[in-house]
Amino acid sequence: MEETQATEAAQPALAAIEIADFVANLVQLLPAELKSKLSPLLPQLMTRIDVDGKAIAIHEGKSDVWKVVQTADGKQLTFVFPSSAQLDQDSKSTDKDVAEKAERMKRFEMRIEKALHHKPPLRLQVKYLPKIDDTTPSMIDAERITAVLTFQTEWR
Amino acid sequence: MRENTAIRRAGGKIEILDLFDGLAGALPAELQTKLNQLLPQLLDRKEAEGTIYMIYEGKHGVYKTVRTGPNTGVTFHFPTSTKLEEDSKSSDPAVAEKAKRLKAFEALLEDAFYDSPPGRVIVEYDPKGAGPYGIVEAASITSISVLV
Repeated sequence: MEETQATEAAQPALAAIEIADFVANLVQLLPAELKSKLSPLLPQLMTRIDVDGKAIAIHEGKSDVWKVVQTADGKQLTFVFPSSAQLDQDSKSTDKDVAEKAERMKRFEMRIEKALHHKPPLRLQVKYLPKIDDTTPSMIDAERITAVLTFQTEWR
Repeated sequence: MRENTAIRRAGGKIEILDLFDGLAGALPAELQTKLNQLLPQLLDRKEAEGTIYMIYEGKHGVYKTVRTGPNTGVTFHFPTSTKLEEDSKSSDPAVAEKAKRLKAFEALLEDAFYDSPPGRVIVEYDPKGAGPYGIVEAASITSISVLV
């Protein structure tokens, strides 16, 4: 195999592969006319917002945990996770979707946590689905996160 | 095998080489020479050497990119830790064993990434395991060394 070129450029490809797999499977199940209708909708389906920065704070509350990510231009975005007790409970749920979602959020939380505690803090990129209600645009529910990338690069 | 200060290691390469060492030792000298010539073919492997540049934790798995040069890298795809944990408890010994091996590989890469300074790794893999976008399935990894 040839080594992949340009690791920076490889990031969108990494994100795309999961979505592409999902869509490819979905499309196979559809009749031809629906396939052609789905194509124009794909760009919307694949919309993700990236926040690129470093984790700067953790706020452990009574019922939830906030993780604050700050971008290079000083903007702050807060990801709101359920409490670890809640996540533990949900991850044992008999409802597979609930359990999977909780496990996923635990993994994302762990990545942010590790990047924050690393010395020096590591660069983070968080991908999340856009909010429909943007009354609090800087507060994002963790369940909207689709991926967390950590880079072995010192934040400047 | 490389002579260096690899102190953390997991995988099958040692076992395979040990096997051939043992085998070769039992053969007459000329057969030993021939066997040595065939070894690279038999062990059709590629190596990615460098530091882990990026970890991508996604919905369906974890991607770890080894930066092999200023602008090159090889990305390995692992199942999610949840899936590996589940599989490692499988009643099917083959599934459980594979999951345990992948967990060991992943743990090495994980530690190397978060080490300060980051550890240098050598990931040996079967190039047939490369899929779309040049991403290599973790199941194709045959050994990992971490150099400190």
